[in-house]
Amino acid sequence: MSNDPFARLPQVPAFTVTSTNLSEGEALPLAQMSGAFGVPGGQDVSPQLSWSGAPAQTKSYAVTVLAPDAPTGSGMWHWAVANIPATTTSLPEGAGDDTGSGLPAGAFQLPNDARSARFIGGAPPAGHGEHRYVIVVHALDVEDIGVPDQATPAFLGFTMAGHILARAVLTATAETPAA
Amino acid sequence: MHPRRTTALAAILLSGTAAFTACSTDDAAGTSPSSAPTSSSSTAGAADPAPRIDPYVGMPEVPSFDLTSTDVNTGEEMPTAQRSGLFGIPGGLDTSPELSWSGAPEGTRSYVVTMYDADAVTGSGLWHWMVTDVPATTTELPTGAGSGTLPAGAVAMPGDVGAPRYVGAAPPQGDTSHHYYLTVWALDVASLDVPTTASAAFVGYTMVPHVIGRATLVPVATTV
Repeated sequence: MSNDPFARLPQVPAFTVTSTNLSEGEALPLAQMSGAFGVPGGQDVSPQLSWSGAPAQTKSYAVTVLAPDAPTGSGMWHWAVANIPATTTSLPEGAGDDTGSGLPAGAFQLPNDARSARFIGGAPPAGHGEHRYVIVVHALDVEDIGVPDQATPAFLGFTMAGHILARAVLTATAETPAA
Repeated sequence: MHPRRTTALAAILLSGTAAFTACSTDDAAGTSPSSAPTSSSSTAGAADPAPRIDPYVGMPEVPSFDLTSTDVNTGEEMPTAQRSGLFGIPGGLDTSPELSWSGAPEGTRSYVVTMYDADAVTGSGLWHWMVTDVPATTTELPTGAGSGTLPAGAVAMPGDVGAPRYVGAAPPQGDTSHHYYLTVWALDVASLDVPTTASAAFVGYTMVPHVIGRATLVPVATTV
């Protein structure tokens, strides 16, 4: 049994997001795993993302990465980027580093659930089964979603819930065998 | 870091004084899996689907113990006082409910008290309240403790709204009933020793290996 992070959210059209680093349903590469959280060789490098097919009236995008299977009571937000300009249709690998060096002007990172404003890689606990890493590009009807830069990703989600025109989803996985 | 202008939402986060009108969502019938407690005396109406998120999926099975409240009860609509004036509910006082508990496992060295909205349309629910390091000798929090005095040693965490206090229920108008999981977690450590700025999920992750008991009430709230 697992939770559906899209359960009974407003129905919106889908568009397409792909990555040169990972594929739907496939395991996260080591670079996208978390050295910071103790995965040997993990580099906490955000994946390359490209998207297309968003509605013409899109005014900005947000990108989020949620691990809904993390044993916390609410999953684990690994990345949240707000105010990505509507002219942007890709992010380079590593855009989500400490300074957001690969982000377009105007975009900014919110603190993830480790309270660091950057991407953190996958780090499922040993023996806890396969975890999903749900990467979502949200097409929004506003240029500025208006959240403070210290807001939680959940607060971003709450704030943008009524502004989502369409979403693109790519889900990778990771599993750490029992020791 | 990118400087950000102050917005109405920032005002909520920083001072907790602004009103906010939540966005409505559709209420298409859901199929969210859940093992949440069910109500034997629901006043929330017949069309009250299961919570969007089951917060205990993938969590270790632990014994339960007794938890009661003079203010709220499982399956019953929350009183206005426990709803959120900060988030625009008329009459809402953001007053935390009274909680009393007994029968926690031997070996309990501290408690964590939380309230989590399993129906907030965020992808991860919404943490409304979190207090860590509640001494093991504590067996009650009076009404309003979440914005008043906590037992010595207890620490109010910021939750998902960023304010280290109880934030009341504020389901969007027209949405299905929201389920608010009020949980007392019994831990085998005296202190979780997490930073006071830690996210609720990080606290959850840290405490899971130390949870030896759990007691939950699930009141609901609906904004018609």
